[in-house]
Amino acid sequence: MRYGLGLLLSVIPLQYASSETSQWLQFRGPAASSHQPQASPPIQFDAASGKNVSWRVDLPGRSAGGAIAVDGQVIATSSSGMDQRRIFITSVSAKTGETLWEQNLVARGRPFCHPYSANAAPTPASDGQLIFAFYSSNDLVALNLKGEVVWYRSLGSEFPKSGNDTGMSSSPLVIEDTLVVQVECQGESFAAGLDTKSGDLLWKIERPHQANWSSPVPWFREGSNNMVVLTSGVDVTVVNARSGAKLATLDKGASTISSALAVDDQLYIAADGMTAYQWNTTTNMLDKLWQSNKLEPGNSSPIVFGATVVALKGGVLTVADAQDGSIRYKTRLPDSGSIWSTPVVCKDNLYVFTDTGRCFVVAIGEKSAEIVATNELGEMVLGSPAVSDDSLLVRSNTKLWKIAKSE
Amino acid sequence: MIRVQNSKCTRLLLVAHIAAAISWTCSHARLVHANDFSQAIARLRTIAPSDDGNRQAVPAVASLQQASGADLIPVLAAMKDATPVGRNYLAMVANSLYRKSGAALNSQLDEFLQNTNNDGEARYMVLQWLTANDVTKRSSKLASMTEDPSLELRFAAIELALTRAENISDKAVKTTELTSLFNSARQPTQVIAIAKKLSDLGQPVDMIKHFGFVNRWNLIGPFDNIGEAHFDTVYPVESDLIANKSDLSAEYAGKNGPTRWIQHTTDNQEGVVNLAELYDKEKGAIVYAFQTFEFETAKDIELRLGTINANKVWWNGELVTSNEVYHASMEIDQYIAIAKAKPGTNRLVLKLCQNEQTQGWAQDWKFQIRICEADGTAVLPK
Repeated sequence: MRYGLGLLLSVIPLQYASSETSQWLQFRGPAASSHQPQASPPIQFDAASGKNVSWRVDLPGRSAGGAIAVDGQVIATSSSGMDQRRIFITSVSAKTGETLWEQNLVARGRPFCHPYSANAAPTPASDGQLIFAFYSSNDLVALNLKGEVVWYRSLGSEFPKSGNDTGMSSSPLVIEDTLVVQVECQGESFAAGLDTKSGDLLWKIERPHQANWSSPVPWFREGSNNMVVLTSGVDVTVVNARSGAKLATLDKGASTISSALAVDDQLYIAADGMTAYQWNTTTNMLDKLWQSNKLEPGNSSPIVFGATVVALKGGVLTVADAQDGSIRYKTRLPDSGSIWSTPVVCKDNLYVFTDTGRCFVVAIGEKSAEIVATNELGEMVLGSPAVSDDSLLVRSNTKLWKIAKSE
Repeated sequence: MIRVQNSKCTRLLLVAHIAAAISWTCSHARLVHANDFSQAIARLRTIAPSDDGNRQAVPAVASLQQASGADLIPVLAAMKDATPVGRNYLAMVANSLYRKSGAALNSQLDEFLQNTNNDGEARYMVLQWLTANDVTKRSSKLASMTEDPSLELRFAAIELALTRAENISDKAVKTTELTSLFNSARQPTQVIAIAKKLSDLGQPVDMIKHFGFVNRWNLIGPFDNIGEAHFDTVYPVESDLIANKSDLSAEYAGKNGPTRWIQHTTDNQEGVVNLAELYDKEKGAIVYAFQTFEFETAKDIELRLGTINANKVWWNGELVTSNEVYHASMEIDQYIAIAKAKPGTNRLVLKLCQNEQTQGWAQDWKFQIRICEADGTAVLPK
């Protein structure tokens, strides 16, 4: 295993490295890897028959984001009502599907978005003690695990030119004691770090004035546990999470939808297809490892597990060698339609949700992939699933689902 | 015996002292609680959207979370006239307190909901609590709220009434019901949906009048905006317009040579003026739109602009909104500027900038603007 999980776990903070496999604390899960190697969710499930559907819960509005799993709770955000201004955070018992609490407030920033999306587009995040919900309207709220507000900031009011009426969707990132948000649009664009406990603004840096929907990602390197990667249509910037200090910058445009992925000393960016960089520990700069225009993530973000890198675009999975970008094979997902969510990998199975709620389970092999199941939820899925123990937690357009083996 | 009596006396005194101490402690605690409670509420009501506001809010909200469910109504009442950030803090505290109080305060909450003087967002939250998982009860509560001053409640009530109206088989009755809902509706998407239903019934409505769209314009352009370089360039026509020296017969140097004012009336029901059509799909260009309005008395108004292009808006020479955003989206009420109309003639000027993006979706160059009250009711000056 050239990209050893052991090394990864040795450098990432405890909140992500926990052996507690029930936790899925942010967009794309532990270290934003989309990877839960110990988990074995059901291969087959079906909404109509209820097969391996533990529970499904109606939520008070729509979302384009995913759910997270925190301390036995499944947390999802929603928006509904007039102009989708009423925004919600709902906690559901992972075990029973019972709603534990629900909090709501009114969006103070711009709530407009494409009808396909929702004000509740970003996936929430957590440090295991607090929950951070962020919305397209740039409303940002921190709740404790009882659903009580700890702090709240209307970034849309504080920075009124920050907003994109097509909708924002960058998900917040918790890294150590800092909450990082990336707010990029044609108006006031910035990335900011806030203290998780107090909500105080620790830093704010200007970002390119272009629409961007990608999310900040953590980069855990040995000896440097607090780096954040910001990508946009014109740059790749690595900052210190606590200070916002720029550590490295590339004048290179990346995807404005797909987010980056950092594994050990490598950084994978959806740029010119896909480009991989290596952190040069001598120069503290990013050295290009390889670039492949045959390996382009579409709306999904790249996934690396073991020595394998996977990109998904237009219903075609491209599987390559993570070390040199050489293509191993491609697999077409039949009748896949549009795919916006980033798949998750459990063991060697890739779970790919389409916007119609179809889920392909694909066994990723060395030389070929096999579609081992095609499952239907029957409702639009835009957000990435969370993995908690051996279950998938899926936020569809109006519902929250737990997919787990029937007992 | 005496010792016993003394002992009883001592014990009685002791008990009395303890009772007094407990009483004092309780009343003091209540006083402290009341002070903390009042101070926390007062603090949260005024929280501004800023780092300093956040630092003030965090201890106040932590203190308020200690309140009991019985304190729910004062927290809800405090949302009235609180700042937008403050209202959200108080709403979230109220939500937590409701979980503590359960149904104990439901009759008081029902009174709170019915009282239209209370904060609309607070009342909407109360509706959610009182009707959770009870569709019939929700329908019953909302039935009389299609004219509610809370736009959120009104929107929900009209949504529900529309569902009922769909089931009316008599065309005349259905048309009357939908017309009534159209007149009540303020949220643009809802208004347009009702208008379409009425149109389908052969009863078209005047959306321009309902919304208060400005549909008659004086336009001049194109002026140069190559490279998106002239958003802040003050062309002579702009300085003349702002200084109230506009002469609609004047000629100005434009991007492609001399240019003059044209009059244009749009019959688009959403008040959309299509500049791309009027100016031959010019790219890298700017057009100014100008109109005057007569008001009999001073009035607080809102100018609500929708455009997919970079824009500036002046009211009586004062810049009221400025948005250097190209091709993000276009919505009715996308940009809202608060202004004050004066008795007599008022002047509205728009600067609408097109860039040179080549994508198919970047060819739009259009705008719509309406004049209305804070609740979206059209203001129809002469």
